[in-house]
Amino acid sequence: MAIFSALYLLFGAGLISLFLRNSLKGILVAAGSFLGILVAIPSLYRVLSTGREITATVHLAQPAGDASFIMDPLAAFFILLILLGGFLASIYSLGYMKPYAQKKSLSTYYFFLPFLTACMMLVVLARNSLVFLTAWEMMSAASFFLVVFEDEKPEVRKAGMTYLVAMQAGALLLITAFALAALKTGTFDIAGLGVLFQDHSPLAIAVLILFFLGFGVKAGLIPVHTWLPQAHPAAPSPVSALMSGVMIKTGIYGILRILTFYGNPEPVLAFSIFCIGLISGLYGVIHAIAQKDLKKLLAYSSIENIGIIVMGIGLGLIGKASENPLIEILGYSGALFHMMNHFLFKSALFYGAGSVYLGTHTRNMEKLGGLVHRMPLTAGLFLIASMAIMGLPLLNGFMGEFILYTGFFNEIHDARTWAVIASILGLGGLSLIGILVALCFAKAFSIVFLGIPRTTFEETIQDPPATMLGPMIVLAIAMFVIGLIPQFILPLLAQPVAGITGIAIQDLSAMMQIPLPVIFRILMIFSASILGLLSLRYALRRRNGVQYFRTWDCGSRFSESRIQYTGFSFAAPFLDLTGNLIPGKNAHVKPQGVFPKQAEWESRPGDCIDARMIQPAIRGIFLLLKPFKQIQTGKTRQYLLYGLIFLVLILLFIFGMHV
Amino acid sequence: MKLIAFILLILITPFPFIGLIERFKSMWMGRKGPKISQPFWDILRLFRKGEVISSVTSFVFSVGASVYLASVITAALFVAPHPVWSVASFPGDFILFAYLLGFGRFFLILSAMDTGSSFEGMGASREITFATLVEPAFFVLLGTLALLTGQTSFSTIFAHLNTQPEGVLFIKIIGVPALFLMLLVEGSRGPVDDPATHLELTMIHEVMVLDHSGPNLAFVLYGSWLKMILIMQLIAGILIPPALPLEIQIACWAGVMFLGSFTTALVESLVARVRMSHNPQLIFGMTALALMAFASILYFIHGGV
Repeated sequence: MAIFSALYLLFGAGLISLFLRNSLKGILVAAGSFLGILVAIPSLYRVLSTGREITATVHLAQPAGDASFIMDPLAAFFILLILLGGFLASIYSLGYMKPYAQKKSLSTYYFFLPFLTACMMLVVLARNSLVFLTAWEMMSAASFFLVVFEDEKPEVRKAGMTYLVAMQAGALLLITAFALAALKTGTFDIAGLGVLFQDHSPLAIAVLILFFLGFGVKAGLIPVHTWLPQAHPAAPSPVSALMSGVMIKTGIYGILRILTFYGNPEPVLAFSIFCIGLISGLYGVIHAIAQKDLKKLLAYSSIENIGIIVMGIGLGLIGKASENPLIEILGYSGALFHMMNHFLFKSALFYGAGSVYLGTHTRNMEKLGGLVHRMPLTAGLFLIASMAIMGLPLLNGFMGEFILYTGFFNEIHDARTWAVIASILGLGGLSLIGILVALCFAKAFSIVFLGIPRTTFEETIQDPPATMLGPMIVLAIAMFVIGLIPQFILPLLAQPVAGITGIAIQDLSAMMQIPLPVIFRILMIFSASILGLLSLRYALRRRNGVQYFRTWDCGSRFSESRIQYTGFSFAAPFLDLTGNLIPGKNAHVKPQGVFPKQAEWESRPGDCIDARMIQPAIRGIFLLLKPFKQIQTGKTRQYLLYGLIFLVLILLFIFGMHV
Repeated sequence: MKLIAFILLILITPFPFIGLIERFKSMWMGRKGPKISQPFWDILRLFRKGEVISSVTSFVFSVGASVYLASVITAALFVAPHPVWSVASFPGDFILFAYLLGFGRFFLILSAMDTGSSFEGMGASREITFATLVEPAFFVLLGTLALLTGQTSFSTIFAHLNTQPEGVLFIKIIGVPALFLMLLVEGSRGPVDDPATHLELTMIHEVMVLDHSGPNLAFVLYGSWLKMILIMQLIAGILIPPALPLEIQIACWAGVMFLGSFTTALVESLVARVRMSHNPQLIFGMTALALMAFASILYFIHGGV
């Protein structure tokens, strides 16, 4: 299989980079990633255009047996995103890692970056559950080492541990699920799940829930998302972009892959998955609004976008359950389309956040401001990506959400009442998510880039070098092209959607019944009227003259930067409406007594589920495990004794079995 | 040719009706009031003025107002000049309608934040917060209309609003107040907002555009008028029964628009402005109305849940 050579290239580039100077490592890895794309493109194109699978079987020792690797359209679609994401991240790293190169060795970074890309590819290719789990764990480990790149900082180490533990917990669920499936079907081949899921027995449902939870941890679905807002800010920006843009999608891949074996879903299942997506979306965006750490905001926004993708999957399931192929196609295409869109704009946003961080050394938005004058290109690109993530027309985000909206509006004509209720929930929910994202990114963009600087930055801050701007520019162009002419990109989705739904698809855009040419014409009218009004204004300005003056301040002469609206005050009217959903958003020390001595106010937005479910659960587990501390004495002799006792017990057990 | 005539018709519609609103308001106050054509002269006067631009601002501010107006004009293509005969129509056009308005709103908010003024930040923050309450209700209402008529575009929905008499009556009773609330919020009218106040702290939309002047201010003013008219068009679409002769439809349309202006002026004159912190409760009424409409239509269509 030609795609394996891409894997070798990535692994090889990582390995050889270990023996190079810091300055050369990045170039080698970027070149390796680029070559990887080149060698992969022919086979990816073949699979995505014809829908034929490419299969390779490798004979492994027991117990795995024959391990098959299959590149079907769904896997090919993911591999395309993975390779592009890995390549862009390696280019961006060239600039981003430069300041670190003088301080520390970049060996681990440049070894694990292509390693992570390669592991993600293995995950989507593997069809043997043991190989899959091995690749899955290698992927988690590689991303862990990337997250803790700045391990001299205690908060990074803490975030890394949280990430590792969460990943292991998720993997444990997956191992259990695969083990149950293998026990029942007697094969490690993932296709065996089809046999298990045939009768929708309680065991099958249990295995499905385990899979959903296990993959949900990686994808960042609530309530198992809590690692995400900690790990993403701690990681270097290119890694955050790769993780958020691509890696968490392997969780979605897992869910999609498992669902293809499930057959016809029950309405309850379809409805629950849809609701999990909806709640994740709302939960993510509401928490994103409260954040003051720019990258944490983006991390929560990833939870929201994963929610939208899962809503799309839910819509597809609803379509299947209500025997409506159009809805099924719209749901799954919407999900895949939004996934690709999220890769484009979220990577760009994380790159933008990285450039800001590199210049200002802070991620705290309340300390930034006015950067549009210092780094205009970064600001413009960040603005484009923000508009795309809100789903504004002209950009790609709109097209993805439009497909989902069309699905909901069509499903509303269904004769089943539950389906109608689901679609009205979808309409209200998706539009609410959409407008909240607008609030969130209006805040993020305007607080970071607009207004007057809230701190005086000592160094001369300017736009980053071309290696860091380049990936953002490429992504921005892709956003515009997909937003205006999605006909280019829809053929890529056709075969993956056909693979998931089992419906033969020739022309996806025709099957979705979305009048793309009409939308294109209206978007052209829109652009033309923007240009027309801009030139009208320009002409009037030329004629009437223009004066520059300071911002109207109602006659006050205080420091202008201090009286500006902050990110928190911008979000406050909305956050007041959410009650006490977000713990710690308002931490007060109120003035007390006649002569108050002290008053403080701080916003430390926490995570509702983390504070109220996960942390109490962890405390409970600690309490439960406390008695076992007795046996952990730290003395080697005692541990050897334990080993001996264990061996004796095993011997007795085996002996007992044979008697 | 017809297209250009239609677009021109859309563009001049706001002037007489906004003039009427002002006229009605002054009548309630016992004043003679300005001429009905005054809004037109206001815009023309602003076009002749120079601009004062804050030196803090960037390229975002200089494109903001134009993008805002362009988005409203493009959105107008779907519902004007008459809701049933819109210039552009395709399945799902209301999604683009809502998102285009969102596009404009986003740029107006960014322009406000670009000035670094605390007043404008306040206005921007309020504007988007209240929009978060309007948007989902609007989509639920449209979903309800789609459910009732079996259609998925503005003009076909309005053309089929006679399929189910009880349902249509319900929509007229519940949906029109909901849209009227939306009109008050999006058009920044009282009692939600106060377009005539002299205290920035009590304003929403007006305080957001404090630093706009000259042609820029004209764009913003005209944009919000047009936006108001667009929502009035939706109300007209629901109220006017389809399949009437053309002349009667046009007469009905003029009547609804006239009545709409009158009611807006009436509400603004007689109802005191709601306290800012109570505004969400008022606006949330729109969601409640939309959900009620949905529940009743679902009952009619599916014959009981």
